[in-house]
Amino acid sequence: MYQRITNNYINENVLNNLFTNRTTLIDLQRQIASGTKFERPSEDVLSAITVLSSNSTLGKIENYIKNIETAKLEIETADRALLTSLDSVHEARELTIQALNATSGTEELNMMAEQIEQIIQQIKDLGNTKYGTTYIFGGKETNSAPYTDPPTTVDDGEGIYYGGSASGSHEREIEIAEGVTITVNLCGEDIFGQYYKWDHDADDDPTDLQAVGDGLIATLSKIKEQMESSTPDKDIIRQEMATLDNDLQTLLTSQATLGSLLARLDITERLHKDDKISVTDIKSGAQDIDYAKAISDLKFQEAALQASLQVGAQIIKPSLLNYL
Amino acid sequence: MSTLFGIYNAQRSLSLNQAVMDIINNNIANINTPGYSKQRAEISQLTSGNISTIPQNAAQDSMGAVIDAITRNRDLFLDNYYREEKSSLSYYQELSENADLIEDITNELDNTGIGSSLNELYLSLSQLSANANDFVLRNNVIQKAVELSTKFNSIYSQLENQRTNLVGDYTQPDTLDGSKVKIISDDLNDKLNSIADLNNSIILATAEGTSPNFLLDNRDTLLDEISQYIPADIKQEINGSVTISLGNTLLVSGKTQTGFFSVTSGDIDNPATLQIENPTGGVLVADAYSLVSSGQLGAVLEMGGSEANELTIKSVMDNLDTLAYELANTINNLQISGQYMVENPAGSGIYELTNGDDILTVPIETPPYFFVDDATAGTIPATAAGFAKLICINDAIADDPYQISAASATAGIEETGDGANALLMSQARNSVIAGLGGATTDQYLINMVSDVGSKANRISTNYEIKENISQQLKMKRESVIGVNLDEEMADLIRFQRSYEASARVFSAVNDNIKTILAMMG
Repeated sequence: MYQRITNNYINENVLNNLFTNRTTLIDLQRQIASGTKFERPSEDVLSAITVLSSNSTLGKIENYIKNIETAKLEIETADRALLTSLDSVHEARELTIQALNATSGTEELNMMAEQIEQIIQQIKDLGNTKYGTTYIFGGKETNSAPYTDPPTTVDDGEGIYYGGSASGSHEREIEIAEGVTITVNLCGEDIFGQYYKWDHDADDDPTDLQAVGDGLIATLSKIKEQMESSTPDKDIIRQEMATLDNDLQTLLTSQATLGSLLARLDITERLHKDDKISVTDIKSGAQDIDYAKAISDLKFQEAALQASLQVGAQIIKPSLLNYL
Repeated sequence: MSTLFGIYNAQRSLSLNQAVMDIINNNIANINTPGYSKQRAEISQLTSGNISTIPQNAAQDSMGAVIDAITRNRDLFLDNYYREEKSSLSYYQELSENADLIEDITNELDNTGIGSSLNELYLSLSQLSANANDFVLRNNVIQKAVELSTKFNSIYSQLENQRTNLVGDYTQPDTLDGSKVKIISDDLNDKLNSIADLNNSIILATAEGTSPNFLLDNRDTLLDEISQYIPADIKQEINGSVTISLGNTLLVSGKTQTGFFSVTSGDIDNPATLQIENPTGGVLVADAYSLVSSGQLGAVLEMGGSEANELTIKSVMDNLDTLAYELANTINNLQISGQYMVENPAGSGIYELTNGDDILTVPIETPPYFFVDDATAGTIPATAAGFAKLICINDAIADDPYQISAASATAGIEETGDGANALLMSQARNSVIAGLGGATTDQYLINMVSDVGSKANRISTNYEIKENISQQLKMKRESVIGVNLDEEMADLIRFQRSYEASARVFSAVNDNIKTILAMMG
């Protein structure tokens, strides 16, 4: 039993085989050129979902890494400011010990007061440390220096005034992992305190100004006041010396807080980077071609096409006509 | 028996062989003509029974050969099977082409889709939260939001165009004229009309006893083409005509076209309605959609319609609408519950938050919406329908990025560094949204792509299967109706030889007569 094979049948058949070969060849060529297994999600739905979910996850991870990097820079700036202020406090402490020395007289104390004043100004400047355009110790008021002279609303005030966000409502938060936020800043007032005097009863009498404030700046200011006084009271200086140790402790605690925050950020960042590598791996497994395989497939397909062409040419040519 | 009988016989034989060679000639000439079916001479013995005028002679009953008819190589069963599959193939081909187009338009796999723009918007909000009063970062948020909404607009418009090309836009009935459904239905009417005309000619020719092979080939080609459009039932009648029907509705009967397709503008779900009318315009079938479950016409109507659980252009457009609308609402709700920055006093370059400050030169207002459908009015529509096409950034915010509510409502006047609300906006990427069926925006987008992908995958699989089947059938049919050169050559030689032999017989009889005439001389 034979099938009637017409010339068009042979043509059609040969062409079909050639088209099939060429389609496969073109697809392989596209894969190699683009490096991806598929062009449209419908070609491999499951892999496409993997790719899209990976993209979504990678987007988040990159976002968190970027946030962490920004936060680390700001925290490191704060850390450096605290380190410098520690040096200043140590210097102030030594001066105070000298002042308590029995041999120190009024004149010497007055000179020391000058030095303490310099330290106070330095600490005020550190309180106004900026990262980029941001004042980092002013809480959410990042646009204006937190430490200034008392504002005009405080009549006839003098001293160092903290104008930033109040402690407790100062936290600026960033997201470092899904649903995890951290506070990147410390409240300047908590670390450095403030100290100023103002005309509380508005009687324009400069002799009964009321002193406001506590913390490092207040302690140093009070020590300075005794030192520059004509009748320095060493007992008060001694008392304040004890407070100064407390303030130093506060500084150290703050620094430890920042240090552990940095450590936490480092760990989180490392986790994110590990995640990024593994998610990229998964995505690549779903999407990217195996070049070795693709190229050998291409070679194989090329050979198949050559064979089809040769066989096709052989089979189309002869007819009875050639022998008549 | 007459002396000249041999001459007649030989002459008949000569012309018969000549005629067959003409048929072979015609076959070879048409070897590449589309729709041509190989013709064959039906030869039978000529007996005295065939021709009554020849005197009866029991011994000399056979009087040579005669061509009874010239028939076409055709297999009716195969034709019907082929057309059925062709109809199915065209259906899946049309669906597949449109599915590819949808996938190309909504391409999320490379980094140019909605997903990547959405990611960038969330990222820009997250950066803003860390540095809320930075103008550059605020501007960045605006840029990313504009990018995202432009992407929504353009993808939606492309899909809308694709749909209009198929079934027209029901709000502008004029667009129906250039639509695929209208073009196909007009072409279908032309073809049905031609079939009716051909039926007429074929009935006449058959009645005259001639073989209208050329007309039959033409009609078969037309029937193939009609089958691409609709799953028509084709029935051969005794008188040579074909009857075409769709479902229970007659389209062509004998020499008249009884059913006419017409397309009318519909509604948002089905912008085009296919009707079948009688010759006077009376409606035979008000909605023929269920009758064209196969064929290109059905595929066009399905893609352009809104059948649930099938891949339709509208389903993708609806998904985009929902995503855009829910995203806009989520961001807008956060935007109006936060605080934005105003210049106070105007022209000073000093920006403050508005919290409870009644000395402000600028009146305190609820923050403006972020995403809107009308940039000037700053409003958002009540429903999602068509929102993806219009979504844009409120002019109030685009002109003054300080109006992005990055700060929480509780922040103090000078606490412009508060980015708590911007943080909430960026965290919206992780929050499940009821309007998105409890998915996050990212998940919803992935669901959408995978839904389109798996439906398109089903279509292309079916398309490949149908392509294989109809390719096989096409080959099978080609092996019946096609011309084989070897066969024609063999036949040519066969009939050439028999022509030569007849000529020899002729000359032998001639010699005989000569001999007799010489005897007389």
